[in-house]
Amino acid sequence: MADHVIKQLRDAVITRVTGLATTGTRVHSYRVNPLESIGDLPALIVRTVSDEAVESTVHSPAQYERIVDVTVMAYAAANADLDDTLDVIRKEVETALGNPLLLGGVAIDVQYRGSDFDLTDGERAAGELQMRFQATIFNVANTPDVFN
Amino acid sequence: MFTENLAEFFQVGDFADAAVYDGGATKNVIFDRSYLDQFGVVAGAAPVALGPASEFPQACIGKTLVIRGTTYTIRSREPQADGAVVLMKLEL
Repeated sequence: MADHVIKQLRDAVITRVTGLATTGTRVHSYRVNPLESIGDLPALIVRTVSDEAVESTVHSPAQYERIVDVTVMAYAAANADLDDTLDVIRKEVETALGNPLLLGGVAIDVQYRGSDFDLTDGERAAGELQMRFQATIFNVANTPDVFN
Repeated sequence: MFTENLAEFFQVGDFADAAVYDGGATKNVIFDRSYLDQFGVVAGAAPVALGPASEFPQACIGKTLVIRGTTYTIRSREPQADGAVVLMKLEL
């Protein structure tokens, strides 16, 4: 059995944003240990934080329409032009996710929904840019690993 | 009125470090570089130096301190208690 459709979606987003000019291969999904401000940054963390599902047909087993919230968090540390660096990352990520993903033969748009930006000081100032996306996917209730 | 001899508290042999201030004079400061959690994701540090206010006036902001071989820039100056000493937040 393949992975759950949400994991397949998350993995596809990670693949799509890996290798970008600024963040390179520093892309993570789940991370326990903190990112070191020297060496691990700038970096991206991709999370599928939540989803909402409704039945899209009257049949049984039902087909679900899922709206999945995908968050791409960008982190950078520098004491100059930090906001500009994060804006470059923003452009690279939005460009990478601008074309639909192809999952199970289904084209899935990952649509931009907004962002939040924050800075914090320290030996090196750190910046966090949360970019929020949504993807709408369909699957039958008893096959959560197959895209419809 | 009693005047505190602050030099007693900034002895290199005790807790202080000799720091090169603004590329020139050596001044003793008490240095600390504790761990700083940034956004719960990034492992950073919060270096600070404590020194006599008379030796680090307001104009010290933006100047450098070389401590233990590392050059920091003073980014803020916070008077402590009665203002006799100041806490300087540092950045690389």
